[in-house]
Amino acid sequence: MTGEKAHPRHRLAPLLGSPVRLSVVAALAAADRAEFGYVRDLVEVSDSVLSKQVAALEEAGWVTVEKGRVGRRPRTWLALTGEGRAAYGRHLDALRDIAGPLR
Amino acid sequence: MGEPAEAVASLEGAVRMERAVRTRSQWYAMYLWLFAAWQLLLIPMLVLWRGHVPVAVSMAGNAVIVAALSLYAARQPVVPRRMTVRHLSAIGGWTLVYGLTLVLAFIGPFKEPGVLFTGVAAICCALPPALVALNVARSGA
Repeated sequence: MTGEKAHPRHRLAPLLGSPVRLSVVAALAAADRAEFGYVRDLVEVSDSVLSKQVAALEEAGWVTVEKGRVGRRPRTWLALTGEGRAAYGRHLDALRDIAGPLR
Repeated sequence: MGEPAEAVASLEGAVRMERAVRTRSQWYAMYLWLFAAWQLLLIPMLVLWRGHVPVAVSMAGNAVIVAALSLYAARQPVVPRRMTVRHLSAIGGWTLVYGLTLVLAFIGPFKEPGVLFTGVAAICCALPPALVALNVARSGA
């Protein structure tokens, strides 16, 4: 790595540049899995916005989507993969380094 | 807003999300506390109240409680971190102690168990879920 690339901003994950995606990943990082509707309400976005962001995270291999049922009620579960968890950890480390003494 | 300030705002947002999910995950500690509390009722009923009818009533009560707790768990929107390992520890530990209690109370040396044996057995049966509940509460899930 060159001196120019040593700034912690280069370690930020571009996919987590979106506040909504960062919020979704942060929420999933604190659980083994969470229900789609719960994450939607927590992040305060619509179904379609969350679906779009989750699709991007799923495509990157950071999130898995699992559909199931409890009784007659359909449920969609979201979970962070090991790769997603590691990327989120690196992203937070970079943010902490950028924040420096302000943190 | 400067880059460091933006980073701080992002970090704060992420921490807020994680904290909200951990708080919501505390349902599992409640589940374990209820299961532990039920042991303090179930074991005395089972051990001290002898006969076919009392055993049937205790077993039916146990089935209702376990079904209610399972329904409560199934309705939760968050599965806490490391729940599989924690649940195996709590239920595995309980199964061992509960099995030992039944053996000692019905087959083993305490065929006429007194209040002391019953009290100790009830506390021992409540201990595995209670310890895991404490661990869940302390770690914030």
